[in-house]
Amino acid sequence: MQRLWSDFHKGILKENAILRLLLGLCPALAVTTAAVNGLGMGLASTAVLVSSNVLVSLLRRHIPDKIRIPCYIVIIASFVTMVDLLMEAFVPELHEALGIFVPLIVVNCLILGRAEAFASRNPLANAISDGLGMGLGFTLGLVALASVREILGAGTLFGLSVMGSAFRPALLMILPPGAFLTLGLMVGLVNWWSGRGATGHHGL
Amino acid sequence: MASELIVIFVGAALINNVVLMQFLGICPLLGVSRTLSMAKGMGAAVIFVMAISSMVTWGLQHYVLEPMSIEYMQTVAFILVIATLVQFVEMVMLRYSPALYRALGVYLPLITTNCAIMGVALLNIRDNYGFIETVSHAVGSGLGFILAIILFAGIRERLERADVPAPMRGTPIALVVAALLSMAFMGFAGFGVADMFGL
Amino acid sequence: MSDLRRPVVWVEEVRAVRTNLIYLGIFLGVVCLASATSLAVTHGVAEPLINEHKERQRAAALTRVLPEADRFEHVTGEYSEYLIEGEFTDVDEINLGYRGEEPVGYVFRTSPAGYADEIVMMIGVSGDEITGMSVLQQRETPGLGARVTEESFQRQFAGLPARQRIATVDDGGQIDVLAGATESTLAVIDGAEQARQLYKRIREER
Repeated sequence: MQRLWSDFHKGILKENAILRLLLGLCPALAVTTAAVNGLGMGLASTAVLVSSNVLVSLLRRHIPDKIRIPCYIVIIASFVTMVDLLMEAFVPELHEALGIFVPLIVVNCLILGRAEAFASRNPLANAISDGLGMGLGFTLGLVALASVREILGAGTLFGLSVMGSAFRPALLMILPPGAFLTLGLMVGLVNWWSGRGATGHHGL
Repeated sequence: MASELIVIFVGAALINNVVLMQFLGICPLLGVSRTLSMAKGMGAAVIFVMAISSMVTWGLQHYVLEPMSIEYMQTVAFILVIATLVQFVEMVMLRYSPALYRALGVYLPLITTNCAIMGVALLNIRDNYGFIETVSHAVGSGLGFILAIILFAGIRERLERADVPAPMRGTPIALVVAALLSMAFMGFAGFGVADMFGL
Repeated sequence: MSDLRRPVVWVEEVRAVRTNLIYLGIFLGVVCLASATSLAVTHGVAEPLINEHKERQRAAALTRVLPEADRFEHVTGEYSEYLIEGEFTDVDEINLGYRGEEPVGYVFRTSPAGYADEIVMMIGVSGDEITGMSVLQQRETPGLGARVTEESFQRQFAGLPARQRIATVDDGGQIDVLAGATESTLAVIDGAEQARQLYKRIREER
């Protein structure tokens, strides 16, 4: 039980996908022009992450080692396509806003990374915990990033005006440079607050 | 026709640079841009995989997925094509340039999860490019990627010797550099600084 | 040196490898098949909903630009002679709006090339005036060119006389250019102009 909880909450802060492991940065930078997009992308990615963790964990003793990566890829890609189709059917405006970054969830190194590093070696309950924790952390990172960009770049948060009419938005924040800048400062802030550098998944 | 191809090419390479404007390929950008030699090796591998995978996935889309009305298999099919190509590149590299293979290490299989390659393949379809336009787009994007990664590596090598405050060392300062590079590239698109600040 | 035992061992090794490879291949094949099946099912469930949404969006867009009409007919085929000529290259769809049995106007769908990509828009024309303009799809820069979707921008087109060229204020027309988005604005104006001229031509010749 203790294990389950730690598997869950490590993904939220200590090993946060975006701010500490530095994974999934492409969608993090691209879709965070508005808080609602960040939230949508985060939830979609979490759905794929948990689903793939579940399946990989269930099949972990049956998947031959030599072809495990292609198998994980097919599994992840299938869930991504399912999420893509269901989003297009049930939340079309959000789906349109996220654009090609929905199918690009398949190359989010977070998901393949968790399948390989965790789900393939752990029982079902832990895999679900890990998926939920990492996914939630990823979502929080996206929403934080998107909120800063939306407030400073458009004066709104989740579409509601929060800065008053006298505020002249810094358009830069919504454009690519703003994305890089905000993320860089946020990672720097988290580094400073936690007293050590980001672990980085590939030793970044 | 030729002028359209050039527009697509220059657009992907500079004006709408695949990394600094479209946000595709960030992970490898940050990961492999530490040294110039790694950047060049990675860049070459990426442009090769990007060009070939774009051609193959285009063919797959128009001659298999669409005629059979199974367009929803696009994501699965495309990523398998890319993974196979990367595997192939790995084998070739191991055989002909083992030093480069060792130098790139874990980053080589990671080309599979390079969103630039998958992203460009998806954009070819989304933007309804014909075959030649696809090639132009893929090569242009590949060059844009190499350009960004080499510029980045050059700057980062210098940055290593700079006195960066501890929390910002490594990735954070690299992202700030990316922000500045991105602003510079926006200049290609005719953006002035005043526009960016809503003035 | 020939070792008579070696070929036998070699054949056995090859057999072992081959079986293993076959197993791997079959396993991967089964995984792909499972994937294809589950996706086909999901697609079957999702497709009707997706199509329904697209239809509703289309109908809403048509009514928004030609409010007098209560139903629309897709008539691109009947007017195809105009579209082949090359003058109206960006017009890709013509719809005729009816109120009851009376035709009340046209809605044209045009896709002029914007700053980033094409801008898909609908323009309604009825009698002697433009009844409305609506941008359906665009991939312009957020905060700049993307503002062509704003109500305040689109409203400028409604009520313009069909006889007069649509242009920016600087150019003698009525449309205010969006700040920092000249190209996007001109693209929309170009799309509207093509529709207007096609409408003029249709009225003259029919």
